[in-house]
Amino acid sequence: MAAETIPTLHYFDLGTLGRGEVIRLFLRDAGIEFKDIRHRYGTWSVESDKFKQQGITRTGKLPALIINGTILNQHVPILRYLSRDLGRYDGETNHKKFQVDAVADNYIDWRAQWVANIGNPSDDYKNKFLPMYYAAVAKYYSENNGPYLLGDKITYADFAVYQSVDNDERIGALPTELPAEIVKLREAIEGRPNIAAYIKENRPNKA
Amino acid sequence: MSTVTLHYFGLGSLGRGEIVRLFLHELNIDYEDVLYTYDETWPSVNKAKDVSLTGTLPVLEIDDLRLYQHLPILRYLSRRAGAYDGETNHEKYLVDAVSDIYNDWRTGWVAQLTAKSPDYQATHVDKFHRLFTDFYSRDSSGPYLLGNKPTYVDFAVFQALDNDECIGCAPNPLSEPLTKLKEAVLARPNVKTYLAERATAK
Ligand SMILES: N[C@@H](CCC(=O)N[C@@H](CS)C(=O)NCC(=O)O)C(=O)O
Ligand SMILES: N[C@@H](CCC(=O)N[C@@H](CS)C(=O)NCC(=O)O)C(=O)O
Repeated sequence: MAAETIPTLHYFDLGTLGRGEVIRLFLRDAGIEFKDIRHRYGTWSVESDKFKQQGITRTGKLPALIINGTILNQHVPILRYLSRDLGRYDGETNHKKFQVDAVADNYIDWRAQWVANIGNPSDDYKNKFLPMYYAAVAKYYSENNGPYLLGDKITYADFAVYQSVDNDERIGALPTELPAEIVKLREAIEGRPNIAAYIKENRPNKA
Repeated sequence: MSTVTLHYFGLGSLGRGEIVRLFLHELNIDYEDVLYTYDETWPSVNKAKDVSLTGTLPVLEIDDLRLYQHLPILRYLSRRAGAYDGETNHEKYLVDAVSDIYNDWRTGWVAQLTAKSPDYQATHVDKFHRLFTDFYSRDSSGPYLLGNKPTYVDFAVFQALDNDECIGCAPNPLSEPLTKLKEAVLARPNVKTYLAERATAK
């Protein structure tokens, strides 16, 4: 029984790239132990039918998190499920919840663009889209003085924004000048006790 | 109370903004429309008038706030009304997950507007029609995702079906669970007249 109560995350062997890593980071921060299954990205199209049949993903896409006997898909809704379950990691008033949700939605739009730019980031992505994205997100952060979106209380959107910076850096698209709010967020996340060592281990060597 | 203003493009019933309009009607909230032209002039208009921080619309002004991103706006309005969402954590998740799938549908739909793909209907529409049908078959006690209880996502999925129909790409035939959803939304007292007028204006 004990083994079954540990949640299982299905995602790809993409290191810290992609949607699944946001959930890994969140689970680690929350101190939730989980089984981390990493599928080969290259052979996924062959496997995906099998996973559809097993009900692990209705859309054929990952991540999928199996927790409390239910299967969850769609990574941002998964973060919100976990936040409600824990009674933490979200705003308390309607307006605060909205701020967190809106930033997460900006991140979702960013993610769609990022996926289209992994191979060879376009000038449009680097010079137009990214500056606009980081500036818009920073504006939300500036409303509560940081380091997190809602001030000193972390929420699920902070992990998503952090991963956008990380993933842009890894594809060589990160703007050289980031808004101060984003730099501050990055430092705060990298100093969190439950994830600091994990992040450090996985950071590319800065020569 | 201050006036409620929706900033969006003059796209009729197409696009993200119309879902917010439909939902405002459902909630009986009066609002004013401010329409912008959806073409290459938009970025400079936005700069001059400082409408949108993200460069995108819709933007809703309500409760002395400027709200961005259409699904977060729907959720804000739902919490404000104390209704239109699931009750348990899992129900809330379901509504959220189907909205996220709707959002993935929307990304493909927008791409289709600018770069017409000949197999849009055969691949995109077909795939999402199946997914939505699958979710709307879960609870057959009523026409909505959560059976008899309407939630914000029902309005988004209704508009997805409508927008595919508008561009001549409706799933054919429309599955039974989705036909029921469509009929149920069309008959809702607060939106009935609005939707009927919208249909004749086309
Ligand atoms: N909206 C979904 C999108 C999931 C998604 O597109 N996942 C990608 C990887 S990050 C995938 O599974 N790609 C493999 C495929 O399309 O076959 C989510 O948030 O989880
Ligand atoms: N995630 C945002 C996306 C908004 C969006 O992309 N809106 C489109 C119109 S439906 C837009 O403003 N396009 C104009 C542009 O990008 O310049 C939302 O949900 O509101």
